[in-house]
Amino acid sequence: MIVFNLLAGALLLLTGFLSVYLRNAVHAALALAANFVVMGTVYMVLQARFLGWVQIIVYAGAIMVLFVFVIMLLHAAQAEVGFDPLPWMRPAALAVAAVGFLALAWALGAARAPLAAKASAALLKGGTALALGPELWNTWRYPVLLVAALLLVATVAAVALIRPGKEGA
Amino acid sequence: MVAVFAVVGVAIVYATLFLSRLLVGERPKTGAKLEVYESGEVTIGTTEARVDVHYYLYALLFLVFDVEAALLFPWAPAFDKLGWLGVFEVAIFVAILAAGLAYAWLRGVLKWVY
Amino acid sequence: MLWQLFVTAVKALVLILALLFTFAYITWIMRRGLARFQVRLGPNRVGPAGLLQPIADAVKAIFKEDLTVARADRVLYWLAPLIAFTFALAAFAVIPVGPDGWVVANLDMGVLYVFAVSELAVYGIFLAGWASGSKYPLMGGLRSIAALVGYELALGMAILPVVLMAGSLNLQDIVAWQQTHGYFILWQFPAFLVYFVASLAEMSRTPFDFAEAEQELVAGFHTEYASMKFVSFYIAELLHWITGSALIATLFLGGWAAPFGLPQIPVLWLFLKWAIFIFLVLWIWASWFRTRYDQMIRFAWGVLLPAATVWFLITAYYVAKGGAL
Repeated sequence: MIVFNLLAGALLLLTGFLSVYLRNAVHAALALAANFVVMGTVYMVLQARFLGWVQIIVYAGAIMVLFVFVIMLLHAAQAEVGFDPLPWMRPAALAVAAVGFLALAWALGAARAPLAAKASAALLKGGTALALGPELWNTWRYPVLLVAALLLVATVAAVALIRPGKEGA
Repeated sequence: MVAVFAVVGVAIVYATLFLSRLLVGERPKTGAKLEVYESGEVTIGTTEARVDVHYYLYALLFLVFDVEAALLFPWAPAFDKLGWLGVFEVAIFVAILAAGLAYAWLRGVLKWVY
Repeated sequence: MLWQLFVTAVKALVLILALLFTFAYITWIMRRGLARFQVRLGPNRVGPAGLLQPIADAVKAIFKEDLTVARADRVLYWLAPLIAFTFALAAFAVIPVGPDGWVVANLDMGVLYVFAVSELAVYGIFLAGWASGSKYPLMGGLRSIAALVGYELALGMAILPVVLMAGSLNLQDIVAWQQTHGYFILWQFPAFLVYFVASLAEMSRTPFDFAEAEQELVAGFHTEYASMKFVSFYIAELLHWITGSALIATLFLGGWAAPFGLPQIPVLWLFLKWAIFIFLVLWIWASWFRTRYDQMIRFAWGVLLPAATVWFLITAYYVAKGGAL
């Protein structure tokens, strides 16, 4: 267990760092995909097994395919080096990151988990699809339908952006 | 369990690659050996070209229906606890997403891309 | 814990070696079979009936010079065959070949695992195409993803009615359900058709083998690969055929369970059912045409996905009415 935690933590940090650090956008995207997969396994070990699979299927599977096509579309694989179009961005990013880290540190120190880890794990019932299904489609029925509406909006917007005219209908 | 499986598989691939390297060794890389083959002709230009925007749409449609499938997978085995209400919910859910696909189809975006 | 790990590792090794052996002889079956369909003889010189041909091929491949084209992205060029191979192999880890214990990983959500692995397998194709630094591979890789994603979804939606009826995402449970209630090919024939056709695309076999449509794309994403790296792709491709057929047999034809009350022998029955689909795919391969790339995409989105969705809703209605539970 401890071995897994250390290994997963190290891998998450490494892939996260690489996805920011690598100059080639395709390499960075691959590092991010690896990050998603490791994150999925962490979810599974934390008794949220279905969430873990969804993390891999939706994030590492579908969203990364979207990223890849955006990279190819914008021809952004090779970063342009040698000049900085937004010189004020680096200090600003550093400041935002610092604030973010401080907020996170404060939250970790101040917040109390609503339930002890063991109790919440028992409540999750292993987090399998079987345990999650009634919860998702009963208690959270309207949010789920809202997700469908959101996805519809995304599809329509993408289609409208790609084919603004009426030709070829 | 699966991780063990994957590790054994990866080890076998590397073993064969290593064996090949060991048996063949380094040979001089002369002439056109290291050029890309492409179609047998001398290549012109690089691969740095933008791709058609339609690919983005396929990826987005994939994402949309992937989320649909991901939400339906917990519904299917827990079906008996939900009954008729569950069937109606899913019918509405699927209908909303099908509308998006139908719209994309009718606007003619699912066609040949280069 | 350690003992369990050891047992799994042994199981994994046995299964992987069995799969690689199957791969070697599937190349022989493929070449001999296709030749027979076309009234040729096929490889028949090395060993009796050409049975040693796969070994000769392996030796030849190992002694080929391993080249990395100068324009390639070196890291990903190396990684791509590995990714393709690993994910092609990984799908088999959850397929039960016999009762309890006769499976490497008996996951409670095995169906999701299959879905995830078949999605991630796409990376190998894309990375190979992109990392080669060559135009046709890049185009082949992009087209492969654009087309494959549609078939992934059809595949997922065709499993849903099966999961709905069996009430479980575990492959052993699905096999057990079929033992008591009858095979899913009878209950779920439309879902089976969608699954089978989408599987053909997943295995990149005729009529959807455009990834290697030599008239348009030379050899697609693996044009620039040689030696054992090329072989890795070749193995991955045929492994998709092998695991895909085994999955169809498990999901729709009762898996390892014996038909007609015959004695239960692990491996044997799955092997026989698997052989049916291997032959079916070969038959289609030998006798059918290759679809055009845009037709292939429209077929996935316009026919397979709607058909699977509608059948899923019909199944939901039928089961909710109280049938078959």
